[in-house]
Amino acid sequence: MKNKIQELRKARKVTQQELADALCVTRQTIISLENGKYNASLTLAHKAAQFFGVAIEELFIFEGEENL
Amino acid sequence: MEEFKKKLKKKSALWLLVLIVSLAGIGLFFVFGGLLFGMDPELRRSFGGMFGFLFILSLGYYVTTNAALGNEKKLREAYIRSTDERNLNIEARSSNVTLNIVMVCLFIGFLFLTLFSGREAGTIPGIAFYGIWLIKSVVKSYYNKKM
Repeated sequence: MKNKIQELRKARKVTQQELADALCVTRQTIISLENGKYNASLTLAHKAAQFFGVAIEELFIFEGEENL
Repeated sequence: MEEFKKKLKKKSALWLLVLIVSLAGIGLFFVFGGLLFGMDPELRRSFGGMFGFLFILSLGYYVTTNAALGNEKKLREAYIRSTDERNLNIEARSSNVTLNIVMVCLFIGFLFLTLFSGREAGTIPGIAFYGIWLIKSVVKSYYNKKM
Protein backbone atom coordinates (compact mmCIF):
# COMPACT_ATOMS: atom_id res chain seq x y z
CA MET A 1 0.00 0.00 0.00
CA LYS A 2 1.53 3.30 -1.08
CA ASN A 3 0.74 6.55 0.68
CA LYS A 4 1.23 10.28 0.26
CA ILE A 5 1.94 11.02 3.92
CA GLN A 6 5.46 12.31 3.37
CA GLU A 7 4.40 14.39 0.37
CA LEU A 8 1.48 16.03 2.18
CA ARG A 9 3.46 16.46 5.39
CA LYS A 10 6.27 18.27 3.60
CA ALA A 11 3.81 20.39 1.61
CA ARG A 12 2.22 21.51 4.89
CA LYS A 13 5.64 22.01 6.55
CA VAL A 14 4.81 19.62 9.40
CA THR A 15 7.58 17.67 11.12
CA GLN A 16 7.35 13.92 11.69
CA GLN A 17 7.17 14.53 15.45
CA GLU A 18 4.33 17.04 15.07
CA LEU A 19 2.39 14.60 12.91
CA ALA A 20 3.09 11.77 15.35
CA ASP A 21 1.82 13.91 18.26
CA ALA A 22 -1.32 14.85 16.34
CA LEU A 23 -2.09 11.23 15.48
CA CYS A 24 -1.10 9.89 18.94
CA VAL A 25 1.54 7.54 17.57
CA THR A 26 5.31 7.37 17.89
CA ARG A 27 7.61 9.12 15.42
CA GLN A 28 8.90 5.69 14.44
CA THR A 29 5.42 4.77 13.21
CA ILE A 30 5.35 7.86 10.97
CA ILE A 31 8.81 6.96 9.62
CA SER A 32 7.68 3.38 8.89
CA LEU A 33 4.49 4.61 7.22
CA GLU A 34 6.42 7.04 5.03
CA ASN A 35 8.92 4.34 4.05
CA GLY A 36 6.09 1.99 3.17
CA LYS A 37 7.29 -0.56 5.75
CA TYR A 38 4.06 -0.44 7.74
CA ASN A 39 0.41 -0.28 6.70
CA ALA A 40 -1.80 1.85 8.90
CA SER A 41 -4.95 0.47 10.50
CA LEU A 42 -8.28 1.85 9.37
CA THR A 43 -8.45 4.04 12.49
CA LEU A 44 -5.01 5.52 11.93
CA ALA A 45 -5.65 5.96 8.21
CA HIS A 46 -8.86 7.82 9.08
CA LYS A 47 -7.08 10.05 11.60
CA ALA A 48 -4.29 10.83 9.09
CA ALA A 49 -6.78 11.66 6.35
CA GLN A 50 -8.64 13.94 8.76
CA PHE A 51 -5.39 15.64 9.75
CA PHE A 52 -4.51 16.44 6.14
CA GLY A 53 -8.11 17.18 5.19
CA VAL A 54 -8.21 14.64 2.36
CA ALA A 55 -10.13 11.44 1.67
CA ILE A 56 -8.55 8.14 2.80
CA GLU A 57 -8.25 6.91 -0.80
CA GLU A 58 -6.33 10.08 -1.70
CA LEU A 59 -3.83 9.47 1.08
CA PHE A 60 -3.49 5.69 0.79
CA ILE A 61 -3.25 4.09 -2.62
CA PHE A 62 -4.34 0.46 -2.77
CA GLU A 63 -2.30 -1.33 -5.41
CA GLY A 64 -4.34 -4.42 -6.11
CA GLU A 65 -4.07 -7.80 -4.46
CA GLU A 66 -1.78 -7.06 -1.54
CA ASN A 67 -1.47 -9.82 1.07
CA LEU A 68 -4.22 -11.84 -0.62
CA MET B 1 -5.74 9.84 29.50
CA GLU B 2 -7.44 9.58 32.93
CA GLU B 3 -8.10 5.88 32.30
CA PHE B 4 -4.45 5.39 31.43
CA LYS B 5 -3.42 7.24 34.59
CA LYS B 6 -5.60 4.90 36.69
CA LYS B 7 -4.06 1.90 34.91
CA LEU B 8 -0.55 3.23 35.64
CA LYS B 9 -1.41 3.74 39.31
CA LYS B 10 -2.56 0.12 39.53
CA LYS B 11 0.65 -0.99 37.79
CA SER B 12 2.72 1.08 40.18
CA ALA B 13 1.01 -0.57 43.19
CA LEU B 14 1.61 -3.99 41.63
CA TRP B 15 5.30 -3.28 41.04
CA LEU B 16 5.63 -2.05 44.62
CA LEU B 17 4.15 -5.34 45.80
CA VAL B 18 6.58 -7.32 43.61
CA LEU B 19 9.41 -5.14 44.96
CA ILE B 20 8.46 -5.96 48.56
CA VAL B 21 8.03 -9.68 47.80
CA SER B 22 11.39 -9.84 46.02
CA LEU B 23 13.10 -8.03 48.92
CA ALA B 24 11.49 -10.46 51.36
CA GLY B 25 12.62 -13.33 49.12
CA ILE B 26 16.21 -12.09 49.08
CA GLY B 27 16.12 -11.72 52.85
CA LEU B 28 14.50 -15.09 53.44
CA PHE B 29 16.59 -17.22 51.08
CA PHE B 30 19.87 -15.39 50.53
CA VAL B 31 20.54 -13.66 53.85
CA PHE B 32 18.76 -15.74 56.47
CA GLY B 33 18.31 -19.03 54.57
CA GLY B 34 21.54 -20.51 55.87
CA LEU B 35 21.39 -19.12 59.39
CA LEU B 36 17.77 -19.86 60.24
CA PHE B 37 16.80 -22.77 58.04
CA GLY B 38 20.17 -24.37 57.28
CA MET B 39 19.53 -24.23 53.55
CA ASP B 40 21.99 -25.60 51.01
CA PRO B 41 24.27 -22.70 49.84
CA GLU B 42 23.71 -23.62 46.17
CA LEU B 43 19.94 -23.41 46.64
CA ARG B 44 20.29 -20.14 48.56
CA ARG B 45 22.30 -18.59 45.74
CA SER B 46 19.81 -19.81 43.13
CA PHE B 47 16.80 -18.40 44.97
CA GLY B 48 18.73 -15.26 45.89
CA GLY B 49 19.59 -14.75 42.21
CA MET B 50 15.99 -15.25 41.11
CA PHE B 51 14.64 -12.80 43.67
CA GLY B 52 17.53 -10.40 42.93
CA PHE B 53 16.57 -10.37 39.25
CA LEU B 54 12.93 -9.80 40.21
CA PHE B 55 14.01 -6.96 42.52
CA ILE B 56 16.00 -5.16 39.80
CA LEU B 57 13.18 -5.64 37.28
CA SER B 58 10.43 -4.40 39.61
CA LEU B 59 12.55 -1.48 40.83
CA GLY B 60 13.11 -0.36 37.23
CA TYR B 61 9.42 -0.60 36.36
CA TYR B 62 8.35 1.04 39.63
CA VAL B 63 10.67 4.02 39.10
CA THR B 64 9.69 4.54 35.43
CA THR B 65 5.95 4.14 36.18
CA ASN B 66 6.11 6.70 38.97
CA ALA B 67 8.21 9.06 36.87
CA ALA B 68 5.45 8.95 34.22
CA LEU B 69 2.76 9.54 36.86
CA GLY B 70 4.52 12.63 38.18
CA ASN B 71 5.12 14.35 34.85
CA GLU B 72 2.48 15.20 32.24
CA LYS B 73 4.93 15.08 29.31
CA LYS B 74 6.28 11.68 30.34
CA LEU B 75 2.72 10.46 30.95
CA ARG B 76 1.71 11.38 27.40
CA GLU B 77 4.87 9.73 26.02
CA ALA B 78 4.09 6.55 27.99
CA TYR B 79 0.49 6.65 26.76
CA ILE B 80 1.59 6.97 23.13
CA ARG B 81 4.17 4.18 23.56
CA SER B 82 1.59 1.83 25.03
CA THR B 83 -1.17 2.60 22.52
CA ASP B 84 0.91 3.00 19.36
CA GLU B 85 -0.53 0.46 16.91
CA ARG B 86 2.82 -0.36 15.35
CA ASN B 87 4.28 -1.12 18.81
CA LEU B 88 1.26 -3.30 19.62
CA ASN B 89 1.65 -5.14 16.31
CA ILE B 90 5.35 -5.73 16.93
CA GLU B 91 4.58 -6.95 20.45
CA ALA B 92 1.90 -9.39 19.22
CA ARG B 93 4.02 -10.74 16.36
CA SER B 94 7.19 -11.09 18.42
CA SER B 95 5.27 -12.88 21.21
CA ASN B 96 3.81 -15.29 18.68
CA VAL B 97 7.16 -15.99 16.99
CA THR B 98 8.86 -16.39 20.41
CA LEU B 99 6.20 -18.88 21.48
CA ASN B 100 6.62 -20.86 18.26
CA ILE B 101 10.41 -20.94 18.69
CA VAL B 102 10.03 -22.05 22.33
CA MET B 103 7.62 -24.79 21.24
CA VAL B 104 10.00 -26.07 18.57
CA CYS B 105 12.89 -26.06 21.08
CA LEU B 106 10.76 -27.88 23.66
CA PHE B 107 9.72 -30.46 21.08
CA ILE B 108 13.33 -31.07 20.04
CA GLY B 109 14.32 -31.23 23.74
CA PHE B 110 11.50 -33.66 24.40
CA LEU B 111 12.60 -35.91 21.52
CA PHE B 112 16.30 -35.86 22.40
CA LEU B 113 15.80 -36.39 26.12
CA THR B 114 13.41 -39.25 25.52
CA LEU B 115 15.68 -40.88 22.94
CA PHE B 116 18.95 -40.54 24.82
CA SER B 117 18.09 -40.22 28.51
CA GLY B 118 14.94 -42.22 28.86
CA ARG B 119 11.28 -41.47 29.36
CA GLU B 120 11.64 -39.74 32.76
CA ALA B 121 14.00 -37.04 31.49
CA GLY B 122 11.70 -36.18 28.59
CA THR B 123 8.59 -35.89 30.75
CA ILE B 124 8.92 -32.21 31.76
CA PRO B 125 9.66 -30.81 28.27
CA GLY B 126 6.92 -33.12 26.93
CA ILE B 127 4.34 -31.83 29.39
CA ALA B 128 5.48 -28.24 28.74
CA PHE B 129 5.22 -28.73 24.95
CA TYR B 130 1.73 -30.22 25.01
CA GLY B 131 0.66 -27.82 27.79
CA ILE B 132 1.68 -24.76 25.76
CA TRP B 133 0.04 -26.21 22.65
CA LEU B 134 -3.17 -26.84 24.60
CA ILE B 135 -3.21 -23.34 26.15
CA LYS B 136 -2.52 -21.77 22.74
CA SER B 137 -5.44 -23.69 21.22
CA VAL B 138 -7.81 -22.58 24.00
CA VAL B 139 -6.69 -18.92 23.73
CA LYS B 140 -7.01 -19.04 19.93
CA SER B 141 -10.52 -20.43 20.16
CA TYR B 142 -11.42 -17.68 22.69
CA TYR B 143 -10.28 -14.93 20.30
CA ASN B 144 -11.99 -16.67 17.37
CA LYS B 145 -15.28 -16.36 19.24
CA LYS B 146 -14.53 -12.84 20.50
CA MET B 147 -13.61 -11.27 17.14
